Amino acid sequence: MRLLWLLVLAMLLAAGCVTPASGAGNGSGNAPAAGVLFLPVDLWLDSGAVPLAAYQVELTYDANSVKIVGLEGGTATAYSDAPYYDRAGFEGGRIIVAAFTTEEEGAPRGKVRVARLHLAVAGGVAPDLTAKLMSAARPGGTRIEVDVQLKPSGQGE
Amino acid sequence: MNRNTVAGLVALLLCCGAMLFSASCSSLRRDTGLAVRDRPDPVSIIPSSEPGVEELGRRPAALEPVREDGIPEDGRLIRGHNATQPMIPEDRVRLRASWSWPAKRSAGRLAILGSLPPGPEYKKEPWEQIGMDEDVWIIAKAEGPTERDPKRPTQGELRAKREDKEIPLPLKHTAVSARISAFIASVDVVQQYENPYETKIEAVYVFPLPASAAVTDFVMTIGERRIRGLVRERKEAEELYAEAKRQGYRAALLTQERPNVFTQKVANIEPGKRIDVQISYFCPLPYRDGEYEFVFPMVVGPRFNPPGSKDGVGAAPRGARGASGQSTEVEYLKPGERSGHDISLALEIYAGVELEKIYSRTHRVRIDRSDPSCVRVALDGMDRIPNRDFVLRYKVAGDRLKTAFLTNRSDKGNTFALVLQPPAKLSDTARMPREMVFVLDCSGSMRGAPIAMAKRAVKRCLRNLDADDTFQIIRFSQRASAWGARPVPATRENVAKALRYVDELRGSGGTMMIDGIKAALEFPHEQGRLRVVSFMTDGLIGNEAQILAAVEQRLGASRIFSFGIGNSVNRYLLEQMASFGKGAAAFVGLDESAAEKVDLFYDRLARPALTDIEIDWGGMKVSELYPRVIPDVFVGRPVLITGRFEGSGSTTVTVKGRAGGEPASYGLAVDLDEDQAEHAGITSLWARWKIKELSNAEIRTPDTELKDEILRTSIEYNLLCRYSAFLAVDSLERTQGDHGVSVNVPVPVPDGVRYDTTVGGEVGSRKSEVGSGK
Repeated sequence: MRLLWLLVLAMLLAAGCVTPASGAGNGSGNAPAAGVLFLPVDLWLDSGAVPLAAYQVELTYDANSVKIVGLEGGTATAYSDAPYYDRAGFEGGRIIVAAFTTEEEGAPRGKVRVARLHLAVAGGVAPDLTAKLMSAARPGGTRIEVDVQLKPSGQGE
Repeated sequence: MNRNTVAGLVALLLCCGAMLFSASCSSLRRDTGLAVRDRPDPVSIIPSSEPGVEELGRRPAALEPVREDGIPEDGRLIRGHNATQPMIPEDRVRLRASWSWPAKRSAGRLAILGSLPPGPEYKKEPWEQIGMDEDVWIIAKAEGPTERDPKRPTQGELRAKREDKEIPLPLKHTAVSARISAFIASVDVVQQYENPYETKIEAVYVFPLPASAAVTDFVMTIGERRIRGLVRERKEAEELYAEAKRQGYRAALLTQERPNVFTQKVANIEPGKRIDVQISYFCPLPYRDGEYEFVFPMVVGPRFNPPGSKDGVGAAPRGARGASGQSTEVEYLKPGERSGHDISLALEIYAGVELEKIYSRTHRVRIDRSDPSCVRVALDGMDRIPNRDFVLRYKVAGDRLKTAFLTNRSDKGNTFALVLQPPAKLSDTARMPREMVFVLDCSGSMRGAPIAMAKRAVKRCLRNLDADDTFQIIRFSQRASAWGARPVPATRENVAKALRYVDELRGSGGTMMIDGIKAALEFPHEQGRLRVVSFMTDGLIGNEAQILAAVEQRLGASRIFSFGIGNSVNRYLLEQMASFGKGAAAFVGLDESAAEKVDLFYDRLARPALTDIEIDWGGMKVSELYPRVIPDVFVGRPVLITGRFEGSGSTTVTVKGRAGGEPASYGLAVDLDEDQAEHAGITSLWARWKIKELSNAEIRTPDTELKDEILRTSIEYNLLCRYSAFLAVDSLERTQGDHGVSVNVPVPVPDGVRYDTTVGGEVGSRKSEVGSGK
């Protein structure tokens, strides 16, 4: 699943998701630098009626303009802790995010936010981020197909 | 004793202490005959929530006269914290205090009891935990019920106030939890930051971890939200952190300044808000003289940096940021000052076999053996001041290591760790004639209890020398000097002279260890003797790389055996000196018996090692072995070897070498398909060891390719190194207002180290001259 981040950026800015901090302080010092924009993006999985016990998602992006600066858990209790990651290669631009639950009853069904990615986007360039399912399983380990989506945080909750 | 008891009592102490302070002093002079040389700074105590106070036993007989001053029979001696006053001579044991309370909400009083001349053979028992430079708090017996002042804070341990100004700090608590399986410890450290100010802050904390720690995980927690940080190139991480901080995002950055010194920065902590940071690491447990040892360092000691140095680890008084002029700086609390930062520690040991012995000489611990599969150890509730290393030792049933070979199979390849033990017959090998060179650190940080212990250790060694040994003594502080022009035979007369010389040594000035190394290694070696250069030091210097390079250049036929003395020594330096010097390291805390340690250590090193080691790996196809050159193995000092492997099934690893000039070999059966071939920590330890080897090569020959390789390994294995950093940013929301000011977390000087001779004394002053910081 690929997001056209040019549109997303415009949408985020328009929607006020990335608003300059208000209140006290020196305003100029608090304004986002032209170079770097920090953005949260949510990873959603939809396993339909099947409980989701484990997932592994590969994220690819342009390492020159996009940096992942944090990985956070999702809304489902089973995936509320920060997911683990494995950087596939030194050069960057590809990372595998994964999590699992050992509690069958806790495995969520349907569409759930399983993780939140914190991004630093450099140079005002529209980031191009792609998520691809590597594997997912139901309790017991049987592989399942799930739908993968990336959305700006705050959308789809 | 519950926390209300303590809180209530100490609140009253605060009220009563000042009033009774001077009266008590004068009466003590009259009644006890003990000299109170100077009146210390007024220090009062604020309430504590700790569940109990460590009781060391009945008051010593030497204090009996004090009883006439109104101290009750049933008073108990309570351990307090070190609050060394610089104006009192170091050879006095000073007692400050009042008495114990039998019931909660009881009143007491605060008094300076006096000082005791310890004398050269002074015995500490029954209050053996009390060092010569330590203060002792004796809490007062009740004088009547009272109400606790509700305005007083109730959390934290005993904290000092000076002039009614508390020291608000952003670091409230450190929680350590560790799990030990075989010889690997998996440790989580949670630092709890909380902003006690009215404006936003960035908290900056310089802290220690074991030098062998493979830091593999980093999580920032804000409320219920946990954000895992990623490791990346350090410069890039620092820039991103600075930008996130500038824009008002909460962020945390972890960097490595030395293999055992780290800096944690947490940006945009709002007033009254809390951010936790969890650091996770794997660490091999050294197996020394039949015992495993788990060490958790708690404070970075004040380090000396040679003139002109800018990239050292500097020491500065609290609030004097930049005074050291070093790239990394630790601020220290002044004597009598205390922060609210405390520490808890819980340990689970899954040894797989019965533990014959388990103990800590550095801290009071609670040991729970109720679970047959696991021994649980926890730091006692009243021993939570982070001012000295926590050291736990345990011995498993039997004489030999139970687990010596572990493997891990993962998508990053197969890795193993092997503990190489010397053959038992080594211990029967005859001693060789030795040329012993004792090198004593007589710098300011050693002043007081450390130098006293070092002197006892050297004197013990001198008395135990064989008639065919020779010896030399070298002292160093601001400069180095030798006792004699050359090593002399260990005759009774020479030893007696040397003992008198050692008696006169005092600690003061800087730590020009490089001069000590030159003096120790740059004179001709007498053939036919094993030259043993023994450094006795706390290692509190900031130019480790320079020191190690000097050892490498000058070692020759010498072997270096480093002997760390103190409660928070620079273990990285001492172990590396021993490693570069083809020797071994030992450590003795100020609460331990130097005699026992010294005897064991020198007995071990007196015997020849298993040298020229080669390993036939049998059915294992091994690669990328670390250490690349297998060091000599001494009795009681196994060596850890790690590497990649291919293969399966069982095979025999054969170790070949020479012992006492004779060929020696032995076999070790290993199972490459062992049941628990998923020791995740093994791969991290292997990568950590690789980084260590590359870093050592870099010390010998700086090379950008080495730097690249170190960084590559760090990123690939998600492992912190000096060229990388862990960064976590919460991009979900920006905090209000400016990012505020940076607040360094000041720490106490280590237990046994004097503030006046380090941070605030000669070293500190000189550091200020060197630095330009402000």
